[in-house]
Amino acid sequence: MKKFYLILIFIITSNSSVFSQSKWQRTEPLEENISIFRSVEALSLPTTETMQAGNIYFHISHKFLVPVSEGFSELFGFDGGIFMRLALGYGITDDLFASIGRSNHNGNIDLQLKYNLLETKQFGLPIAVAINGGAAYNSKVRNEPEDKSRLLQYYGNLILNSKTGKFGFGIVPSFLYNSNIECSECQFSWTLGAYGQYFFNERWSVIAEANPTLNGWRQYYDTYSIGAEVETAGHFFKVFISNNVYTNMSQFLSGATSAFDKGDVHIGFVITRVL
Amino acid sequence: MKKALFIITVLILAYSSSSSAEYHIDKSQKNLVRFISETPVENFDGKTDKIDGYFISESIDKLKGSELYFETQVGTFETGIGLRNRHMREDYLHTEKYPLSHFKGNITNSKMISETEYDVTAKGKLFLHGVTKDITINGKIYKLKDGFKIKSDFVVKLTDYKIKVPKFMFVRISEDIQLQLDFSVKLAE
Repeated sequence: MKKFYLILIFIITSNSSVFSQSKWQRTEPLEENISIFRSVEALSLPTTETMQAGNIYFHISHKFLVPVSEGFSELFGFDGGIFMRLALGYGITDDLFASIGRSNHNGNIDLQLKYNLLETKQFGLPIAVAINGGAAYNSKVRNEPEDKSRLLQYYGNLILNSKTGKFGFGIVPSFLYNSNIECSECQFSWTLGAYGQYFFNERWSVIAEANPTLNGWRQYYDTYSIGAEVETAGHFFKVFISNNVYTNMSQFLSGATSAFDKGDVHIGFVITRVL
Repeated sequence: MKKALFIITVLILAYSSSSSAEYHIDKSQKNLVRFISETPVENFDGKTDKIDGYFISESIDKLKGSELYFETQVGTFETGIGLRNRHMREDYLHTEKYPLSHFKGNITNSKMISETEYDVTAKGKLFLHGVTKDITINGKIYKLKDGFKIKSDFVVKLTDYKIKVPKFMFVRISEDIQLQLDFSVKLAE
């Protein structure tokens, strides 16, 4: 009987000591954020990044037409002419990003839509997939083709991004339709874009980008660009050298006019701002 | 001896039957954790409803000693600008490493305002960004039909939790961040 009471007391006291140990358990899984690149573009090619719904994005890019090799007399290109593009973007949803841009070469107006298809973790790597599609209209062409529909160009990019440690990389197979508006035989171009970005810290990074043409029409050379990015206060500043002087996607995808490996490069920069 | 044991048993039984009830966060209610950063240059806030936890208490008129635990997923704070959310997660709160922030403590003081409203003080430990600190917070507890509503408003100093106060970030951030909690708990099943 004594034993019985002792056991009873033990059970009750052990039970009441359980009181301070809650039976609560976390039921909701922890949310995971996939983050690879921070900017919506590398140097000229797009990343899978989009804007949050309702956020506005502003872009300005310049490429100097006089090559760096002209030296100090032309201030490495700064004294010469430029190709430039201004664009405004908007996050329609968290995954759908629209932008409208205008560049001065051929009075090119572009309308782009980017859709973030997938963000996942596979083999311990974050992976993101997006598609980008656009149409560009060349509104000021010196030798206008008879067929006015040739003033329109279309393009599409499939974007695959991943990151390992501080190194983010992307592959961007791209298709351009009506590659050269002045040449009716120049129907299309297939390119295989690729880029890598190494982040020294949350602010500074370096980027290299290539966009070789696999099939179809191409200007004289494949495109190579290399530069640095500074991220500060919602801005991205990108400064780089490239053998491709075009600032809008439909002209950029057609290829470069000078040889990168012969040092025939131009200075370019991009400034973007998230509003 | 038998009698003594019997009395002890009865006492313990009586004690435990009058003892605490456990409440869990009621996710069907509108729960909110909000932080506010106020500087002369710019004010902004972040919100999340990802709060979870429990409350163990005897009754509304015996809140003193009640145990309180709540946690929030800091990576889910929404400030309205995607890039700002990322800066916050990746550069300042390091949410991949420290996805949760939690408070565990006990109510040390309670003052009745009305039959359903109490002013309370809780002392405990706040874990944030890998740092645990003793903290005293004030709040209010309201009696609901089968639970309580808990509200609290307190200030955390970012440097106490080894969170950098960015000087040239997207926005200026105040070193003192005001935190507002507003959530409901209901009797656990």
